Amino acid sequence: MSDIQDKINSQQRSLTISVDGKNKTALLFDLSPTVTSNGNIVADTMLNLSVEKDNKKNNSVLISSTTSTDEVVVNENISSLHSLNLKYKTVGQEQKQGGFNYTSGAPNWPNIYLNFRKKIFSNSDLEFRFSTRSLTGSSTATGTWSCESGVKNPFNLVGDADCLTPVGNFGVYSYKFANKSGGNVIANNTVKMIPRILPSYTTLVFAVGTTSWGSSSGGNFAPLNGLLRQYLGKRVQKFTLNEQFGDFNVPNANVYSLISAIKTSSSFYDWSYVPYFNLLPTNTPTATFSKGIPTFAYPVFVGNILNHPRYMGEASYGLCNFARKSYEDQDGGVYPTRLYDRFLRNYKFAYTKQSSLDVLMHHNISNWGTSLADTTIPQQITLGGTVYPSFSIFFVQMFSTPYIADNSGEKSYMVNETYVNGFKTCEFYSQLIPGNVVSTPQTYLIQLFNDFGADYYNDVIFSNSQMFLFDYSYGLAQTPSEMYQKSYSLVESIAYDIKGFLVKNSSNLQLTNSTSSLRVPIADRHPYVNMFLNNPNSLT
Amino acid sequence: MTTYYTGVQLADVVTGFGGYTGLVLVNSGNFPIKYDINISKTNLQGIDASDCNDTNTGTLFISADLNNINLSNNEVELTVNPSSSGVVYVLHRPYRNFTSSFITAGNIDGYESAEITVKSLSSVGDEDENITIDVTGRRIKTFSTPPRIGSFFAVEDYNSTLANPLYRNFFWSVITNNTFLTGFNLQLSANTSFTSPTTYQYSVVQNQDANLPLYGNYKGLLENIYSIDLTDFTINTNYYARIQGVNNAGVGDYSYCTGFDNYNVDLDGTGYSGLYTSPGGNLKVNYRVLNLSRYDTYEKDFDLYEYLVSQNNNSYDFRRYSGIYVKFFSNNAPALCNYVASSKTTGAINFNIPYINGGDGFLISPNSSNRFSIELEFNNCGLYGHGGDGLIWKNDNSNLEWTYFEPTDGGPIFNFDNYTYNAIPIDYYIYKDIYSVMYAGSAGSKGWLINIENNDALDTQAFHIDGFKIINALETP
Repeated sequence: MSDIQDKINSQQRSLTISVDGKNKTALLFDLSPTVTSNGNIVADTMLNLSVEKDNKKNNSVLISSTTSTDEVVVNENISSLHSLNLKYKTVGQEQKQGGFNYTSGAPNWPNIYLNFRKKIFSNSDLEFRFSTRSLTGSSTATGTWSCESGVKNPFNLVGDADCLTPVGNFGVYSYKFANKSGGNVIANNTVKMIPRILPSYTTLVFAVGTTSWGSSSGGNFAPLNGLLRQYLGKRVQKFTLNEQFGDFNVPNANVYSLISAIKTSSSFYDWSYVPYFNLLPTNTPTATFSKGIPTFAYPVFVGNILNHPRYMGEASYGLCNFARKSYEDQDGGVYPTRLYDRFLRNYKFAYTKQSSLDVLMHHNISNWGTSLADTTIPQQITLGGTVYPSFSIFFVQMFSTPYIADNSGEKSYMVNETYVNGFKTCEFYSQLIPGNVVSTPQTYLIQLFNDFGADYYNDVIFSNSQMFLFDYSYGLAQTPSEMYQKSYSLVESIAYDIKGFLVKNSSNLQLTNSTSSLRVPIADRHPYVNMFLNNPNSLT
Repeated sequence: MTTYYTGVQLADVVTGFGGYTGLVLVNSGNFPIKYDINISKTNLQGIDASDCNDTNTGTLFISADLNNINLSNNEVELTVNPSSSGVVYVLHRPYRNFTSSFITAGNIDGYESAEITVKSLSSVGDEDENITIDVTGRRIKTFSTPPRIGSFFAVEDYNSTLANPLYRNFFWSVITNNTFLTGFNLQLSANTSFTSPTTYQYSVVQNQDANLPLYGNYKGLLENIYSIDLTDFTINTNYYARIQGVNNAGVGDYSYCTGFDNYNVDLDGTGYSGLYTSPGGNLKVNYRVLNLSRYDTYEKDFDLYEYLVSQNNNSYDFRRYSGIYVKFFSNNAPALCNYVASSKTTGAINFNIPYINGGDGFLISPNSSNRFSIELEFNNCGLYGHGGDGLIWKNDNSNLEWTYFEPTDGGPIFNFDNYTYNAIPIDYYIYKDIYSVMYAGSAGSKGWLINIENNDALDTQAFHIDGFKIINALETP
């Protein structure tokens, strides 16, 4: 990192050219990675040429060394006598990105294979779990998503008849979640559980496949309309706190009761056409509390980063932290720091001033070619006889952590924060009052909602999309750190379970043989595969 | 107050073996007692030196230590604390061999006797009356049936000089005291019923030291661990083994063998007692996978070959194995451990096999697919190819001409040799967790040349801007 930064600093400069003793031209340059027409990732020296006249910035031109091969002139009349013409051109030959394995001379690679390793997660750590791991080709359509064995509170998730159809590929089976217009609830359950105030984690793994490409905005990728809604914690009241709040050091708390009627809902969207995640005023969850306790709830999380930043930002940072301030300026909006992936996905939008709607945030694993025979043709995902040229897998991690905000006397507050994929989606306060002990099972509403018909952007066609369910789990932990550890372990185990989709192969994915090397363009990199490389054999 | 027996019958001992019987002195008083123990009036009837071709005459003696024997020792001092006990051993002076005429003449066994006197002196000055114990014993020429052998197991090992380099090293032990054996029969069978087994006869080594019994020591054969290498194993073939003790009385019951892949053996009670049920474990030998784990924080141009050789006792002979499995972990998980490459011709992970003495530098054995596998599992690891250099301008001031170095290619993630040894190719398997990343190096960028349009001397007065390189993650820690 320091090497790069030093070099940037040492060479980042401005050029001043005096004309008639008072006018000047400024030159700035920057760099970023870019993808060339043949799929190479190369460093890109980018220039921002502008001419200042009377200390006013004028006619800024942003150009890329990978696209500007001929001389271009920036012309500015800076006085009645003179005009300033700048001539610039790129120098040098485009070079190649590295491949998976080094070779000298004629290709002579060994056989190299790729896969994921198994990680174990015990169901005994979970309160409930729905999973498609046990599905087989002989499984039939059902309206009931049965709970896996070994969890603490097994119950079944019941929906419309035959709304869940087993489909599979690469040795992995999933439930195709039937579309129903109008946003009807497909699977809907109320369950009774004994409420426990402990750090909890919810994991949802699903995929959305789209049978048609493109949209009116001209992007190369199909829109994603997966809508998932989950109602959490409909009514929570009266806890035995001396057992459950042991870690919170509640004073004089032989017995407290939580008096709050809490109702909140969270919706998770993926809007491919939203360039960065946003907080929309719609679908604001409600929270109602007794005794006038102030309540603050964030609007619903909406965004197209449905994978946790843990799998996105860190890995990409080294390559992508050169995203420039100028991007923000040109977008004219907030540029979330975690949007490295957007930058990777389609970096050109900034200086070409393309609509940011063209930028697709989800990782379409259908784009990833996995055939050594022809590395240019992606192996598309086929499920249940239907081809999904666009197919993305999403891992949703939700954490809910309670803590005592004020433990000075009777007005003790419990605060419960909920984060979805690293972003706070809900925060509510509840007053704790001593007196009652109730541990009666309460009713919870759990829904999985597939609103394929919603039309949030007028130019988006949703009807070709289909949701696929893999796993839905909920567990408790004694401490926040344990909560994170368990959740990540669970995600790892699920990633292994569905590895067939990630590598698009029922066994090991062959990356090289003696003459060919698979190409994994950066744009097709999936967060859980998280690799990119070129195919040196295809380059000249 | 001292409690004692007035008479002791010693355990029998057969010709050629040593033997002992322990006398326990218990101090149930309130003060330490010093015991002065003497043996006297030793006597042997029915046998003399001429019967056993032995220069050691005499019969019983005593010792406080079975491992430090003095044949002429007739006195032992022993201090015993209150509510504690001490032991003095009465031992049979070894007769190494009877004459055949003695054995076949139907002579009676030898009878031996002695008197042990124990003098006790309390730490407070009290002195008890002497204790006198009469001891008797027998030297017999008749062996009893051998008992079952214990701790019988076989460890797979490798010897590159053998035609079939994989073999098994068998171990067994006598687990009961006063076991009088002159040998063992070890049988190896290709079937579970031990039909037509190969029998290996193993004789107990005779001692040359005249102060020791002919076989074993004064504890008999206890504490000895016997072993033998059997090298007749064919790869991937079923084998079973059993063993029995042998002496003049015949053979004992069989014990069946337990197989292990390495020498870190942890026998359970059944295996120790020799009661593992027939036919025992399958002792099939196969080339194994070498399993390794390593934790790193940062590595540049990691040399996998060098690492594997170092983990194989600095040997490049891996013919014991048909594969290698290495797990890479980050020292700072969940932070990634970064493996980076320093040039476009090296990988973050390198496996390049040198020629050693003009020959192959990596000797391997095949798996069931007649290939050798190198499996690398990455957990919380970042693997980054080298970022290519950007274009670099240079200027020769003598003539004001500008030239430049072209940008360079990015490097690969791995640098693995395509290698075959004895028609066995290496296949590589890369396993990753969801956190690990693998990025090839990006190519360096072009440079820029900028000038004012009406300046004809473009290359001399222009601005020359170098290209850039992208360094994936951290090339320096």
